[in-house]
Amino acid sequence: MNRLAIDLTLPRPGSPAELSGLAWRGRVAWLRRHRLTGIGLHLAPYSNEHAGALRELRNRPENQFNLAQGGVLTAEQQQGWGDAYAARDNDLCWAVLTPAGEFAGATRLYDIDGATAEKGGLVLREELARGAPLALEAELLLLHVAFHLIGLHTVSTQVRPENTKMLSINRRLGFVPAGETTLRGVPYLRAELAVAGFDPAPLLPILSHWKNRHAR
Amino acid sequence: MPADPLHEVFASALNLPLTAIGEQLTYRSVPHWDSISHMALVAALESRYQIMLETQDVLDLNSVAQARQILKKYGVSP
Repeated sequence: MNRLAIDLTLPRPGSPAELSGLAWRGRVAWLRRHRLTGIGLHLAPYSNEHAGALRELRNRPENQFNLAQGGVLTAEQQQGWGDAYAARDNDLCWAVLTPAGEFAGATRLYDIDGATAEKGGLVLREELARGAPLALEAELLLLHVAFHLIGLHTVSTQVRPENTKMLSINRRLGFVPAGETTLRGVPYLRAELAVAGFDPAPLLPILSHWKNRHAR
Repeated sequence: MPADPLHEVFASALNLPLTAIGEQLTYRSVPHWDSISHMALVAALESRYQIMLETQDVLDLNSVAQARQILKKYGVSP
């Protein structure tokens, strides 16, 4: 697996020259072949090796609810999702791994059309996510990829109204309300972030603090 | 009366007014205390009091009252 190091606290976080000559589908394909290594995590392109751990996480009650999953996900269903994902060319799903390579969760940028995309499906093992800034760095890396590596102008997201922690995270990232919708029969709140509104600067001191912590 | 310095740290990290911070404020009780705010809070506590919290203490940091107890372990009495 090829790797791309991205340190968001640096003025030039990481944008490989080889992406510049590619159209958006080529960029997505390139990203599906590369592991992104941040300060305190890896975003590894999703593969079947992550299926069991992701299924276990998605089957936690809070994630079943937030994802409106409609019940316990079977191994066959997860495999089926993985097979369908592998066949798509407009979808990026990453396993979030700790620096030591431990599976911590997953996140996803999907329905990419060259100008817009949806982010969603962020699930993290709370016992790891409350001990290190995994959610923050995973979200900022995903948005860096969306806006600066693929070149999208807007990222949308949909969150259940009861998922107040995720709504709060999205506000901190700069997402603004964009109405309501219904998914799998349940109401969701939509929010959008345009590239012009993406300003990670207020959040970077948190990453810098943890970067210095790692260095101690 | 001057504001409680620990309450000030919480208010800043959680983006809440100082009046919303009390000893019984918990991770579960306010949407603003999300996982990003939690990391901002840890960074703010460590910077303000020049300490480095152990991982277990970062995980156990669930309320203002609990934070006060944890800080005592590091010789800090805010």
